[in-house]
Amino acid sequence: MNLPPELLYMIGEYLDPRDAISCLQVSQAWLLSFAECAFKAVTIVSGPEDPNNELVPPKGWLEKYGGLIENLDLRINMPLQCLIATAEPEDPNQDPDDLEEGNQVSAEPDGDQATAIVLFPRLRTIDFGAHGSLKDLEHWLLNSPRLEALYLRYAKSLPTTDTCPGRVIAAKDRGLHLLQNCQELRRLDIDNRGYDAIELQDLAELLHHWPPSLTEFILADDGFFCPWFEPLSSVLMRMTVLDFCECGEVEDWMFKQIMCSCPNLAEFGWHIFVVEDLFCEGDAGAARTEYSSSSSTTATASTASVSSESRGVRMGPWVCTGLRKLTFSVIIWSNTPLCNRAAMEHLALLKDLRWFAVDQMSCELMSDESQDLFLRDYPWPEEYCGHPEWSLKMGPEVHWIREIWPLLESFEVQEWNWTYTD
Amino acid sequence: MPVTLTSLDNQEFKVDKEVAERSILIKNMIEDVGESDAPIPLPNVSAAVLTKVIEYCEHHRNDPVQVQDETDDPRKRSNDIEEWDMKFMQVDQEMLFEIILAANYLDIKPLLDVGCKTVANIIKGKTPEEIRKAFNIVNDFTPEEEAQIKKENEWAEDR
Repeated sequence: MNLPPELLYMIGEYLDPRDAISCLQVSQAWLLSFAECAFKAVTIVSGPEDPNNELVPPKGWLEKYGGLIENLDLRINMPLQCLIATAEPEDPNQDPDDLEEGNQVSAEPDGDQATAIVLFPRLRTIDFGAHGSLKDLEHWLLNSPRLEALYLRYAKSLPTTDTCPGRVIAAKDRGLHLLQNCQELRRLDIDNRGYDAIELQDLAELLHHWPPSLTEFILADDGFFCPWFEPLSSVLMRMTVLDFCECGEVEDWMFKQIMCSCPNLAEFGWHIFVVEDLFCEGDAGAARTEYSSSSSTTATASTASVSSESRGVRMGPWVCTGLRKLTFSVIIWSNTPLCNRAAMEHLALLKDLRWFAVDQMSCELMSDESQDLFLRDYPWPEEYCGHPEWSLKMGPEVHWIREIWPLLESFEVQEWNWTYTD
Repeated sequence: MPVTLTSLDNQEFKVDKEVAERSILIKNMIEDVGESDAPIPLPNVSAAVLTKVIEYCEHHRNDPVQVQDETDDPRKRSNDIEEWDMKFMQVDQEMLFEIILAANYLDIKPLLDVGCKTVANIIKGKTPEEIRKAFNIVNDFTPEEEAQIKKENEWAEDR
């Protein structure tokens, strides 16, 4: 007696890869069902010093099983053709500049290239890792029509610019050409650190043309974000998830603008920025040009009205009050208790908040007064106070926080970690 | 109010409505037909298996309705089977598979889950040959095919 494939698949969902792989060797009938389970989520790993690492699939494996993969994490340090039995070798002498001109792989592959095409009809998420070539990225994008999430990493240590995969999608025309094939793409996560990475103005242009499916945008940038915030801002308005990881030199007016112009925002993360007068609406704010959306609460009006000359943004009406998840890290809080009291008052507007995290570094950088307000004055359990690994799961003893955020399920002080996006 | 269920081999079982309605299939049938004394035919379930299924539903008659598992983790846990369920599932392999098939047909998700977990727990840590033995499965691969499948997938075992 045997079970039908759908029930074998359900059993496979309870197995780890090793056991699922044992199952697919049991019989022909079990092969496909358990292969679906075993290879639904795949991580392909290879160390740079050992291209024949045992954790890399043999050539031909992708042709056979690639169609089953839904989530793929490529931590690979070798060109794709090493994995595809029929692939033509990549030309090592190809000029990286040619790649940006769209001279490499076309959407309609001709003879030799056609043999290298592998279709990934189920692929929904791909983490492209820090390596791989532009050709590889094109290959994956052109063959993954159901792609929902694309994670692009950048390795600073690599010498040539063509190793930054984000550049391929940001390059004019070329990026649009590729993404026409990804009409279901919902999440774009780009690690743009490094001095020769994506030109953010290109990225801004690309985002303007992106299908409306894109509502989750995560950007890790190393100090180049500020000049391009405004070109991006009208696109950011439609986002439900925004996270700016390690975007150095971020200014508090951007935070204000996002809070006041992204009505659909459900998750927001902000990392490394200095809070001077973030929540101040008194003298500090008045010294600058007033935020001009005070007469309008609509996202369109508020965003359009902010220019580089009017960055002295006062806190306008928040439109993102449906925010459910908020992460602050490496935030240097103001020394003025008034600001932080104001901070709490503003943050209290986020009544739908369910998950709030700050990191250890942010807490350490708080002034004593701030800590008094944020941590010590409230009835935290003693064991959390002053401890480097504060982590408070919501318990009945934390009455005050429940009053501010009635729906909050978790408040965490996370361990500070520079490698957040790695 | 009791309802009557008729098995594949024409045995009739009188059970409380709330017990029978642990099966979404039966619940829907009762709702579609309305109040009726007519027996409900279950042509895919033998009397022996239906006896076990009713035993399970009786024991779990007051359980809350199972909510959809919304965890992001694609891998599910199988080490959380209740003691009573674990004993209930101590049957021979054929009956175990029959219960899973019946739970699937009758749409009793908690029973289906516990059946799948039980099979998964039997599989864990076993070699392909040991799995075949445990479930009386004939190896229909040629030795070459078997070797190839093993070779091409061993990279993924330690992921």
